[in-house]
Amino acid sequence: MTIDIEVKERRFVQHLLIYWRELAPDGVLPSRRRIREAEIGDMWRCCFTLDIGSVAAIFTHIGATHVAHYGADLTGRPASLVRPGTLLAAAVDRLGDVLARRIPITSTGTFIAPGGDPVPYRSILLPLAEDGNEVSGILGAANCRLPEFR
Amino acid sequence: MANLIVYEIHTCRQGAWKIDSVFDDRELAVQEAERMARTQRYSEVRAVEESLDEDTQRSVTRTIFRASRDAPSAREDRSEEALAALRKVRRPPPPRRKNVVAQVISRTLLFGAIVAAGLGLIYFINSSF
Repeated sequence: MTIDIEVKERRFVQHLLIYWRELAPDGVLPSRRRIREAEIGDMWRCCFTLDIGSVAAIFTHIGATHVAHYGADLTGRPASLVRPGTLLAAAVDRLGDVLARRIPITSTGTFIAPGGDPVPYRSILLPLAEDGNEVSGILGAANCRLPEFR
Repeated sequence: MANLIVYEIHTCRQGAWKIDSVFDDRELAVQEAERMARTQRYSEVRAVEESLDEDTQRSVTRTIFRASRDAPSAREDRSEEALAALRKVRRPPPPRRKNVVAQVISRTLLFGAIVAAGLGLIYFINSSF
């Protein structure tokens, strides 16, 4: 059972990575404009996007599952305001690394669910660039073993 | 000793290597490297495990998967040290010195055996007629 969940979680991250690669097969970073909700499908509810400004990284989309789980819609608000210890906070934890290295980074770990139990999660951050080079956005996703994420 | 382990996929295109992506899940990294190798977009793809000892800040890198367009892909489990050792082992052994004394003895014995056989044959022929 645990193995099935792990495989499913890996597929979730890998599917998004493959989608991102298909948007920019020549090695340049894909543009935010090329991302289509319909192409991502059911995974979109676990995805989020960020605009990288000169001052802050601002959420431009947060999937419905994350909004329900977090208890608020942070769209339009900076990533730095995410409550520490939450899944969303864990998902954007390596944002600085992605901005510095301009490559996809996946993470696994645990966060503490509202009930107090540690819950394993898996996340990915994918850099986006309007000019193909300088990171101007992020496509991210995170899922975990809570029922609403399955 | 606290170890931090990350996995990186490195790709080579037109002779230039770049770090493509970073994972903290070995299986996912290898699966993705295998998938990328199958696309034939890269001349080489490899997945590298980097292990950092947080106490000593010493890091050890080892290739856990490599594939090239010209060679079949392979999962590997070798550290750089192990690869160096392997290269050492695979060197052709130095030519062995010929033992001249042994050769002289063996050739003398062979000569003696041929002479004895010849004499025996002559004796047999003489005694028969």
